[in-house]
Amino acid sequence: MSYGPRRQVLNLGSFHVTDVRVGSPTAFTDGVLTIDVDELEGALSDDPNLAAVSVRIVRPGDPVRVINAIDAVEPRIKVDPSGADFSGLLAPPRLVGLGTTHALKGVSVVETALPVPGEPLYWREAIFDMAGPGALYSPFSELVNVVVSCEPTRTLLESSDRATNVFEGTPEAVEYNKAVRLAGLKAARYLAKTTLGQTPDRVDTFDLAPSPVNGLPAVVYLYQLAIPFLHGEIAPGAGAIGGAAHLPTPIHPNELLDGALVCGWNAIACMRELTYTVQNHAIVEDLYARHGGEIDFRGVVLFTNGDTRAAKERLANHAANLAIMMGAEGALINYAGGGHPAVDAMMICRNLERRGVATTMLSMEMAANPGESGFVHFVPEADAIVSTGNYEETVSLGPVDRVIGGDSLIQIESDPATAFEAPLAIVLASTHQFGHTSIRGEEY
Amino acid sequence: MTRIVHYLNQFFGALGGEDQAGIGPVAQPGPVGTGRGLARLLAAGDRIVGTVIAGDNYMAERGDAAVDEVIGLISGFDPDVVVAGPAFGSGRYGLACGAVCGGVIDRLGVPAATGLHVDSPGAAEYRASVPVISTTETAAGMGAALDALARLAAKLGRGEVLGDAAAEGLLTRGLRRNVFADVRGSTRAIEMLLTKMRGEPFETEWPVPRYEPAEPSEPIARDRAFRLALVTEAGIVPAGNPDRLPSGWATKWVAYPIHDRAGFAEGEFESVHGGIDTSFANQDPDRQVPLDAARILEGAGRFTLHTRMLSTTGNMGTLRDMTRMGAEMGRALIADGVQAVIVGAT
Repeated sequence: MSYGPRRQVLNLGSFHVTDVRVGSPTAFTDGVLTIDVDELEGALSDDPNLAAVSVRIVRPGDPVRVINAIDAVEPRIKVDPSGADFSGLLAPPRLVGLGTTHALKGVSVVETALPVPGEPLYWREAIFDMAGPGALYSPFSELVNVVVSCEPTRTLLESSDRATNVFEGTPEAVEYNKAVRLAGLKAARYLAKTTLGQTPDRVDTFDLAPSPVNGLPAVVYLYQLAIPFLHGEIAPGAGAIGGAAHLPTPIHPNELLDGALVCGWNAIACMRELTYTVQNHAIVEDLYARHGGEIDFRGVVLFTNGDTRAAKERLANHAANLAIMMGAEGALINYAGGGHPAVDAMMICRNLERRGVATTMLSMEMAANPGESGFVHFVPEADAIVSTGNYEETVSLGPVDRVIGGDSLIQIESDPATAFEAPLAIVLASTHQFGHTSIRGEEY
Repeated sequence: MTRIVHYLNQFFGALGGEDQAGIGPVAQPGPVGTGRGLARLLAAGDRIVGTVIAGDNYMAERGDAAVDEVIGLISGFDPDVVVAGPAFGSGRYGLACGAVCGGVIDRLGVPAATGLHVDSPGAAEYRASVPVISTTETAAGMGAALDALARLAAKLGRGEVLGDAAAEGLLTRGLRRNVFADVRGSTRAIEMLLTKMRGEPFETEWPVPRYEPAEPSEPIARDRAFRLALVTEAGIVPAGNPDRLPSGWATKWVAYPIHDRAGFAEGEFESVHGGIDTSFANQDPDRQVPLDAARILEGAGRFTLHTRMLSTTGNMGTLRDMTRMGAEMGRALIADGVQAVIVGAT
């Protein structure tokens, strides 16, 4: 073997799904995905934490509301290296973000699950509508969704509600939610497996090789994760950087696009870092689209947040250092939502601006009334912010014929099939911090 | 024809300078002072039928009662539209223009507008409820301001719905709402960053608030007797929260006597703060408001402790409400002879 510079190239083959039908056998033919629902339900039902799993298909325009959503996953399968699908969860840890991956486009697998005792409920409500005025806000309203509804075992339903971890709940609740997520990942792999041996409609090549055009503005993306994302095995690609130090780390953007990060906890629905939103990371996709043309994309720095002033200073200094080491002249920073993370994201913005790196931030707004600024924390240097919308703003949701995911909502007392008003906070990925949607706040 | 009534202060109403600032409201027929310039710019048929003039100090000191008097005189002219000022960056005059317009809109049901500088106190207070033409900070921009007010008055007189703030020359209302952009957020962010890196003008979608710089006071001289007050934003209140201090988004503050206490006992006081785990504060509220420690120092002769503790809840508080409450607390404490404050914060 001769040694020399190596490139990490990901070829993502897309198969456009025009319709999804129930039938047998499970297959993908001429744009139509046929699902043997009995077989899929059987394949997902072997987890001891789940009493039953049912699979239903909902399409844009169906008068359906999906509630108690947990995660959403784009059907994917690794062609090369094979067997690396959601590695660390469905397989031993493997390198991803290179080789060839197949994706079913226009479809997502969405898990729903009733809460069990001992689960933190404050953030858990997550819904989206497939029709009516409520369908304007969630990206999942525009996809065909294969909804995997999971029911907890009786043992789980009768378990203790005394949670010691405010983010995750009791160990039983953690295990149950992990089982639900695994069911979604397995379903995603099961569906995408139908594409093996077929030619994709389109192949996108993601290659971070130095831009052949000199003098393009060098841009680094600083990606703030919600911390529980990093809890060990839930986040195979990033597990190594969790732990007490919470040190920022560079990560290859291809890993993000190739299933290295899996949604690990039930954060507020509008900002939940769904597996789907990382697989289709809007910022990474848009940076890649301009790489070598308008910009020189230098990579991604993952960071979280410190718990103390000193930890925040260390984190913010190190994140800025990494970006500068990677050659950043400009930086995009997203804020993950919540109180602590706002401080760390703003400190990084300040550090970079003071060191001569231009910054733009993406942030959701959090104003309970329209006269408030809605900032948790800010620095004057944050003079370029793209708003991904105020998640406290209330929207009107219409009545639906059918509700999938349970009989009742957590925070809303109304019958879930009726019309009601709700903050965007509970609408899945509506004000997503990656800029996945076009909702924004404006002054008037 | 649109019947316009114009509101002015003593200076722009040609009654005199600061020496006449105490003058009460007077009504005069037709345009006066600034109004003569405005009258020349009005659309054909629109007419200033009367002018109401009041002194800046009179309006500032008498508050709502003075606004009532002004509105009474305005209604006597049976207006279709009321125009106040422009008052540019001025404090008292701008606030009076805002208050008069707000009162006219609310109580007479008549459209009203003024012209103010974006950073003036009147703009901060009234831009959400009153159409405010954006002006320069000083009267140097009088011509442009009157021109804009004349056009706005014509539109309001015809009952037209105003367009977006920039097109009308208005300050935004300072309120925010969600809309759908043409492209997704990630794409807008990259475009904003590239524009910024090229050194071209760019516009943030979410402006950060601006803080007024706070001047630190002179230190209190050593060995001087002084009165110290305890203030908190930790939501410390008597058990049961008798005055219903909110756990977040507070717009009021409360005060409780502490002169007969050596410290706060568990069960007698509690924290209603909605943004922290209050169990430690409830076990011993002195952890948030150090009354016990202050009593020890008072016993050693270091200072005299003020008789009341002032409390509010900082959680989710708006900059505007907190600034106002801070100023109110400051005035109350100064009036009570307090020279120093310790603010226990969460």
